[in-house]
Amino acid sequence: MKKTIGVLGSGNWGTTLANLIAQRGQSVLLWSRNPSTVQEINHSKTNQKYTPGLKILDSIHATSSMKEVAESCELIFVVVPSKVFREVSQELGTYVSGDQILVSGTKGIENKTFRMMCDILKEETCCKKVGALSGPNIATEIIQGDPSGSVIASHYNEVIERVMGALQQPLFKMYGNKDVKGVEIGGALKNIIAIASGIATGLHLGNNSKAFLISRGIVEISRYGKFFGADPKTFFGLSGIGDLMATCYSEHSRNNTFGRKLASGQTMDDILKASNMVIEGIYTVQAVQALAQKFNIFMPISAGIYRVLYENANLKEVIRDLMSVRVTYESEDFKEDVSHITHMLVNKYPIPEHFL
Amino acid sequence: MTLFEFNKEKKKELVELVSRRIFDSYSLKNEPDLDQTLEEMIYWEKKRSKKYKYWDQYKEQYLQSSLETKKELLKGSIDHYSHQIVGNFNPTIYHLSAKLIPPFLNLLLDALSLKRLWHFRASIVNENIMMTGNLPFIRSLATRGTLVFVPTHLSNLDSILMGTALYYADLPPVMYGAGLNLFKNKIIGFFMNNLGAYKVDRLRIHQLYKDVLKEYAASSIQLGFHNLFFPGGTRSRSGSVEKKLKLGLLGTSLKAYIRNLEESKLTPNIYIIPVNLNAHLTLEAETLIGDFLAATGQSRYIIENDEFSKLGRLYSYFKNLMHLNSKTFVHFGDPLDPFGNKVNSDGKSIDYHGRVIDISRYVKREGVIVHDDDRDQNYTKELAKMLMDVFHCNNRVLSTNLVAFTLYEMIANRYPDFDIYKLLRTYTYHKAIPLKDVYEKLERVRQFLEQLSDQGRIIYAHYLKKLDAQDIVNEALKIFASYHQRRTVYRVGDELWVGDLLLLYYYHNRLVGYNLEDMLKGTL
Repeated sequence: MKKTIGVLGSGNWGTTLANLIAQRGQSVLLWSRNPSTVQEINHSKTNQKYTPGLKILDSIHATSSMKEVAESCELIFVVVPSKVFREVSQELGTYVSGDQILVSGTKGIENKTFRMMCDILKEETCCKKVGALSGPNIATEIIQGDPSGSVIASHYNEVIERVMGALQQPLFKMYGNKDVKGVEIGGALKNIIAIASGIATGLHLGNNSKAFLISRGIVEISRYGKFFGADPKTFFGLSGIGDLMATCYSEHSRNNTFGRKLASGQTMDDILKASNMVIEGIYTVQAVQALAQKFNIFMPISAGIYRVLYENANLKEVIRDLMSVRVTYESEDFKEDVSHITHMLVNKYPIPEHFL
Repeated sequence: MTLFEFNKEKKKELVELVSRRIFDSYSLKNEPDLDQTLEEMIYWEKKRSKKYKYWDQYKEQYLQSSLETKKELLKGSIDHYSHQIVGNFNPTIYHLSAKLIPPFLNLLLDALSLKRLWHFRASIVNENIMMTGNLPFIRSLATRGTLVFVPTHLSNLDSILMGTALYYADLPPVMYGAGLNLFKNKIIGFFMNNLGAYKVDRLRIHQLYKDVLKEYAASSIQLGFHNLFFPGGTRSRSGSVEKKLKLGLLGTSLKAYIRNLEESKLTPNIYIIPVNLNAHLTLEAETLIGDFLAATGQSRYIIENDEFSKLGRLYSYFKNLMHLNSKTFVHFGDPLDPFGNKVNSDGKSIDYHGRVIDISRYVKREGVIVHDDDRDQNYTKELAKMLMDVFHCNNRVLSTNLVAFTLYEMIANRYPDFDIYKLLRTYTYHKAIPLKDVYEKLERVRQFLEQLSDQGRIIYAHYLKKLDAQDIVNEALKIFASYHQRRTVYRVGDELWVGDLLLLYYYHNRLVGYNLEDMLKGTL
């Protein structure tokens, strides 16, 4: 009987997730490509690079053999950056069999193919029982022991039950959801809004601005999700607004921090060189921008962030443009476009010069 | 096992197996649930047969019964349904009917020359039905497991077409479900009754009957009899490729596979063979599209008075199409397993990278077979998704569809805010479309389709590539003029006139689902 649970990826979230599972008394096989990380975890029970200060539990064993993970575990979490997700999944695919459950803990969209992580798992392995784990899960806060919760989304009840059983604990509450697409889209797109929120913080804008950004951000995410067949209600749960709020307000959020640094005048290249963390939002925004343009989905915040990152647009100009977009009803149910009054409003109430 | 072995004993075994399995699953239910089953059955039987007195008495009897007697009543109904559904197979009639097809086609081609009836060309079938796909591979799979053919469905003629295609492709005969209404035609009914067709009474829509029917399919597949069913459940009303499949019926193959594993059968595998049927014209097009518009989403499940039941229309359809040398296309797609995986030349399931999969592990947990309805429903959804994808990729572009698509989109683009209903109400039939414009637009559509074809997302035949826009329009006009009572589209000088926008819409729909409309926005 395979009771060991596998986690692929020993980064910030992968290591934290392994510890959460181990807290339930289950043994965990934690895979890392890096032999020195494997050695550090097994001998010093630490992972200083990604989870400084975290005491890794004894029931976690690190390995650099993916085959060992695949052959020992029936439940495997894949928590590697979206950029290498396909490559890792493909390797995993050579070892797994159809009875295993694979869960993505990565929030992102593959750039070239626009595939979500669960799609990649199904394309690269023979496993059909797949799921996505998402929610307001800032690793540092979980390590501190703050109460939190997460959503496991899968079409299969078995996946939901098994993952809940592996992670549910007093300070970590699990919820199930069948809307895999919605949960994955919410988790991926919130990183873009988090960058925008970081920029707002870096520009010392107040809470009104941030709340405005978050509210319109979730509407934008929801609009995008709805287009691709997700249930709009999903975006008002833990994996939608929950994750978005956490990441937009947290100082520990990588995407948010990235936005703050951007606002302070650093360039994207400089920030990335200085960081050992993956900023998923900078890749996700490329995919989202391409799809939004292709299918004509109105995504003003994402378009603005894309312009800042890849077209060297001026931050303040982007904010000005965002504030001048077409005026419409707040609710998506009101289809009427009121752009006929936009021109009048913008001219009557121009954005003050001192702000620009 | 093939249908040639479906003798009296096997038939009895199948009926008993179906009855026992259904009764066993229903007798586990508690009394209120059992009552609900019987109440539902009585309601629908009464509605169907109009024998109010009989069913009222039946209900009275059941209400006063003990639980054991209720179970007996239930068993009686299950047995009745199983016996009513079961089909026959007569090898002599099978061979005879297959041999009758060429002279029949010959007769249609040359009606005045009856003396030539028996001097037919056997090749006439191949001249009129074009079969493509990896047939040797499918033949080889018939010995490695049980085949389940799942064709797209446009016409009542499809069962006959499939039967003929299987015979001439040297593939084994199959069991298939056919609506009870089809048995009403005495000649067709006779053949169906002896060629493996089992009867599906579509007026019985209560759960008990549906379960018996599904169990009949599952048990016959499990016993090793090759099967055929139309996964869309009914003929496509709109003319489009199937957009939704019946999961209950599709799931019977997985059920049979799991049972085969439990019984440790030597050849437990079930192979799903997607089949695309394409024809330039549909016999019942007028009735079907009318039904689609009359109640979109609530189409009548059973249509008894369509063109299929009118001999004159049947004759006209065959004769005109054959004189035009218009073929019917039967494309056998790559086989799939009940989980939607592809299958290699050894009959083993493979993943996207061609790695062999032990599919028995899909239904096991810690090495043991586990029954899980939710899991199986999801597996069947995966299969359905894959099938719909295959149906779209193996859809063949024909001149009638191509011309109808271009013309309809040209008209629809003039009224971007109109849906088909509004368009039908307001379309001015006396408005001509210059041929020059049609050629130009058709060329663009055709370029998009050729691109899609290169990507393997549709079949754009080589012969069509050789024709220019003018030839394609001419071919389509000739075919359109051959059968339908009202001319769908016709030529007057240098202009095209639409005679029946509804039919144009029907034939256009076969090319919907490829985002062609979006690609063409602004260009048409």
